[in-house]
Amino acid sequence: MPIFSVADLRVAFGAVDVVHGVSFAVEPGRTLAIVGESGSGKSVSLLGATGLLPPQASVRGSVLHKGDEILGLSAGDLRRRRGADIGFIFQDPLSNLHPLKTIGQQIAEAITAHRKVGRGELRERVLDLLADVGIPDPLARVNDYPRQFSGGMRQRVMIAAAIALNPGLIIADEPTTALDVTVQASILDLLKRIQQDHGTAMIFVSHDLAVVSDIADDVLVMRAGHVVEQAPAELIYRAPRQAYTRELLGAARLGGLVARAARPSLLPALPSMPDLLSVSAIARSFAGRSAAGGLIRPVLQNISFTVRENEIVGLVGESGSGKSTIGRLIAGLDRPDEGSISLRERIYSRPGRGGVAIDRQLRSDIQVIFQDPYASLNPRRRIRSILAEPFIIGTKLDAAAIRRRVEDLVRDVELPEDVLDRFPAQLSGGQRQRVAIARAIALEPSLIVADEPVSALDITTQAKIIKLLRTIRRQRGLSLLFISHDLGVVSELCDRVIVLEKGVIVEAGETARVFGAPRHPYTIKLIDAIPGKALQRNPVPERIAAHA
Amino acid sequence: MIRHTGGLIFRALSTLLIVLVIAFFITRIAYRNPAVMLAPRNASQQAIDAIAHALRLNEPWYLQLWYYLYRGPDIQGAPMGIAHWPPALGYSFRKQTPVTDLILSKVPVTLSLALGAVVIWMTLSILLGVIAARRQGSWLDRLISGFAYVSLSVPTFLSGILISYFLFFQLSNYGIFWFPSSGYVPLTENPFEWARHLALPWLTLALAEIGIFQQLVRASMLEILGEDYIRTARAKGVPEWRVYYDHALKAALNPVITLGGLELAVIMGGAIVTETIFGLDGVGRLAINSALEGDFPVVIGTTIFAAVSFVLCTFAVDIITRWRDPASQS
Repeated sequence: MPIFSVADLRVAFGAVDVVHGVSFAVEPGRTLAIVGESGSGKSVSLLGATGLLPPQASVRGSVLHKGDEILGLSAGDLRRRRGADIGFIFQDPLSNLHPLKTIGQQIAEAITAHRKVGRGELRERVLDLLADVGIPDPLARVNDYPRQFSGGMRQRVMIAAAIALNPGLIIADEPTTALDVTVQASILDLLKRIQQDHGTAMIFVSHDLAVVSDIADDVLVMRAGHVVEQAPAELIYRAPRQAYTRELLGAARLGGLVARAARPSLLPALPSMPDLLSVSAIARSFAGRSAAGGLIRPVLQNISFTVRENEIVGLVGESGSGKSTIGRLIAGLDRPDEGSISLRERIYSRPGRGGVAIDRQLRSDIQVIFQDPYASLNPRRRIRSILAEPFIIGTKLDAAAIRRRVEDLVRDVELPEDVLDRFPAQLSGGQRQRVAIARAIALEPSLIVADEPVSALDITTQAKIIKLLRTIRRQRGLSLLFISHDLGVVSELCDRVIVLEKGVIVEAGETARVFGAPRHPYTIKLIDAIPGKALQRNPVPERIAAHA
Repeated sequence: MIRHTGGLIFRALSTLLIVLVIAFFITRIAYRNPAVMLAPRNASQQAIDAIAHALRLNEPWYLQLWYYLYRGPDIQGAPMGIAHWPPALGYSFRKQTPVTDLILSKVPVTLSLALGAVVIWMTLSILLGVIAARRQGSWLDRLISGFAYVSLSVPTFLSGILISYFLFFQLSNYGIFWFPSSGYVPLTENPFEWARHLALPWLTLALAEIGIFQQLVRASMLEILGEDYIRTARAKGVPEWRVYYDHALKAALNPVITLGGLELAVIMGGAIVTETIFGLDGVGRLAINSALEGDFPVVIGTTIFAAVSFVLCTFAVDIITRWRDPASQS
């Protein structure tokens, strides 16, 4: 008997229906994955079913929890089930943890919200939970604040709060999306272990079929508020019935890095191309925490590499590896402590005081695309004025000419012309990132530094943006330094790849070589952590083969 | 932390020095000759000159500033030098007593007035702000907001007089003498009488501030209530009242504390109208009276006192913010 089942669930905000009759069920000890793009209604369905949507939302249908109808229960009755019987894990553990409460307080609260527990016992249980989710030295960390933890550790804290009362059901909403690939793998392992230890049912929401492939028993594919396909995981991966499921599968890289990277069509950069950017022996360090007495923390050590004309170079590594610092140095937003950086054999960045004052010509030659298109576009300006700005600053064109150039740009990044009069908030994530790309290519730079440009996007949107970047490279003949923690994306786009670990280059070479025959243990570890491996290794089971 | 505190103290001291110099020059510009104001109405020119000479008003400005900072006018038997507390801010022209003594004697009144008012307005603003945010758009929210706007737009001289009229005069007509209309009893003498005498001025000051602060709490709460961690609290099954009064309020208080510190400093610098209406002999009245009388040293002294209040309140806000959010240091 399912512990949690939803039948014909409909959610509307005012007159806008966002979920149109969704049904699913999950049984104890099993995992249901709900997969779809952002805006497909997957999170809204679960939040609506558990009473976590704001009161403006209207939720209809039927939601059974342990056999009781919970839709329409009073707020108090719902509250008693949330936390105690249903644990929640959300996507971004930084914004989902209270910044002014210690992690100990936040975990303890999951217990005290439902049970009366003595102080000593409460403390014991919090420490046990922290140890259980793999926080090293819980006694020392229990009074720390979320900001003092890394992303993966924060997510472990969220999990500790979710399992504090050993709920029969855990709802995990994109729990690994913001995390590095190796951290993601360890969080998935943790969730799997908890599920096995306690026989918990789990609903796992994700936009990436690869991520859920190792953990899901059943998969529900959603799109635009409808269920597209619902089947046991094996069937979804081996024999998807719907075209949309196949599209999602195509965008997901089910551990299949190498095959893609090896495609010869993806290696157009000729070795004879001259060097465009040359980074030689740069080092950068930052002052450490004041508590450590002004220790110097080296972030980059002896980094040297080149980017040739019309080449896409990938820079991969986990968070904290220093890859964004390299991007900042190349973009001229910071200075190195040692070494130098040159563009077409002209050194423009070397050690010195103050920020880098690179001249206007160079500034328009090197452009940047940032990760978060939500944060990197001014919310109060229309797209037209955002895109006109580079021309106003970098050229002497008159208003009419700028207008024409802006309209050309929008066409180049394959956006409809009517976005020009909208504000960033009225655009989807993918559209916003296209605007950011348009802004970057406006002054026809020779090099673009793209710092995690697709990490905040859905997997299907990622694929489209990557295609766009490839087109732009071909048409405009520019070079791209593509910074990412996602090896899948890098393998699809880049000609060469540089692997960075803790501020040191551990491996570099042609993409096909590095991912096909990695030499450094760290590269191997990164590749091993890519989700979806299990599917590759296992042969197709007979019953599935018969079904197909 | 030590470097941070050091920097803070350095900035505070330089602020005070700048305020002092500016205040000094303003008094020189504002009054032609204080000796005329200080002298009796029909005093002869010689008498006025004698006064000017005694007060060193004929000396060049830099010597005047030096005397002000270092010794004050020559008064028989008075200790001199910056090391001799208290005459570092000079002597009152009119009362012939050290300015510091004069101000310090008024501080208990002003401090009592300010601290009591701040407690009342903060408590009420937070309460009303949270209720309004919780019932956003309801008639209760609109009622509270209406009250806030009234409180914002009624000037203190009007609300003070109305409060005095109803809670003192009208009540006393019925033989009820709960709240005296004026006077001050030191806290150390009789805490009950202290509070009873200050009740009406507290109310007057609080009423003027509740308007801003209630709206600030409400706006800040509404913003915080949209945060992900509020949803997390609900997902953990935290009771609604704790979601509002613990989780949301805790985070929403940041701007309230910052503005609260500044407003407290303003009142410390002199709640002139309130002090006048309720006959409280505080720093505000000292400042206004000395300005009217042309008593430069006291004018400068009260200005410095206001600046010191600002510095101390900013300091306190800084400490509270750091205590609330220890993770922000690293």
